[in-house]
Amino acid sequence: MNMNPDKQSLLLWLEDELDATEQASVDAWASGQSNWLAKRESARAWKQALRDVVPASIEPPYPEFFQAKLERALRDQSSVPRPVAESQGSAVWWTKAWMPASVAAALVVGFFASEMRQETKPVQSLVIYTPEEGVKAEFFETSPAEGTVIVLNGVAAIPDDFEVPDTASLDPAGTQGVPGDASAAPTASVLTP
Amino acid sequence: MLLGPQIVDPPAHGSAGDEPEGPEDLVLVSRAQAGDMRAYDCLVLRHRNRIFAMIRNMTHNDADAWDLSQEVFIKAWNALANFEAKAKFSTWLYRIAHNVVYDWNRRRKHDAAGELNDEILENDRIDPSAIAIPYVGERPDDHMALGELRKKIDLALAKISREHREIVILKDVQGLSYRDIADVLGCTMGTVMSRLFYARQKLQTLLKDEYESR
Repeated sequence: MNMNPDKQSLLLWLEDELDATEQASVDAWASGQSNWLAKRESARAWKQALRDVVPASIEPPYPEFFQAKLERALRDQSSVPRPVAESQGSAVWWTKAWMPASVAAALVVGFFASEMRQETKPVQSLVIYTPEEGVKAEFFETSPAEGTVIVLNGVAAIPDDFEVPDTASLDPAGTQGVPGDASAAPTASVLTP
Repeated sequence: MLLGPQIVDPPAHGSAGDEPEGPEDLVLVSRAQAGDMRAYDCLVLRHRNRIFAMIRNMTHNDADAWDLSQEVFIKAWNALANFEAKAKFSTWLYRIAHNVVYDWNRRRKHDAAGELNDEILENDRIDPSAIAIPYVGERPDDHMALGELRKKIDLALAKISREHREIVILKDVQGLSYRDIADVLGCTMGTVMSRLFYARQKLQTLLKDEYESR
């Protein structure tokens, strides 16, 4: 015996959202209901037509930058409590008792850390953006020489007939000025081809 | 070649940001809740493309969609401790995306309140069901790349109200169930069913010629 399905079951059936048992039950009822079968086909065709032209998944532009920026934003939120799932009542008495001593120790460590920081360079996370797809960038830093090198692999070769455009550079004569002496300071000049 | 938005074919489940919902999500969520940022990075990769697509289909603007997607994942990270596995992680993300887009629209209205910006005023104040709504859409080069049908559907989606557009995108494009959409929007399944019915009706009226020819 085929029971008439309720309205909600019918709407779910139209969208193919019923579980297997209910689906079979409504299918049995609908086998003699050509108008409902047509409605379901129409709903399926509509969804398919939309999905064919409106993308459900799009990679955002500059996906590596997307990840890098997000990661940096999350790390910058150091003041925000980390999402560690812990109970509110987990703090026991002895942690409270040691709190003042811990704060004092942290202040001492912080003082020495700030003293040491003056002698060492801060470590920074680096994000390199390349203008072309397929270009791989590598970053090298030599602390003793205070040199920084960025190697770009995959950049197209510069053609032989490429003319160097106008470029600003420091005085090629290498004039070394005395600090504070504006007249002897390196000046910018323009090299023309 | 400059990178642009890459449309990912739905069958490509193996690609980043287009992963199907699975038990892996729960494992990654559990690790991320313990502070494992790499696990969260994996979660972002699994869901990034669908969240970006949903927001872009709502805003019709790459730059806004990019920023809002970032906001979604930052908010998700900050609220991760409150996530319970009662709902799917993707549904939870869609809910955050829904709230972020809602706030963004409200900010736009507020920002436009004291200015004579014709573009914003026209978009937000004209009756969404009007036939002759001005459309400020995608860049001209994007439109060149899109098919005629896509353009017509985009135009039609831009003409219906934001609530109707969102429900069509969630149901008919993203493929969420009635139950999931009710969770995302914070309303009953009956409301979702009713709203979807009217949204489709309006959209099909706007696309009458196209729809009947298929």
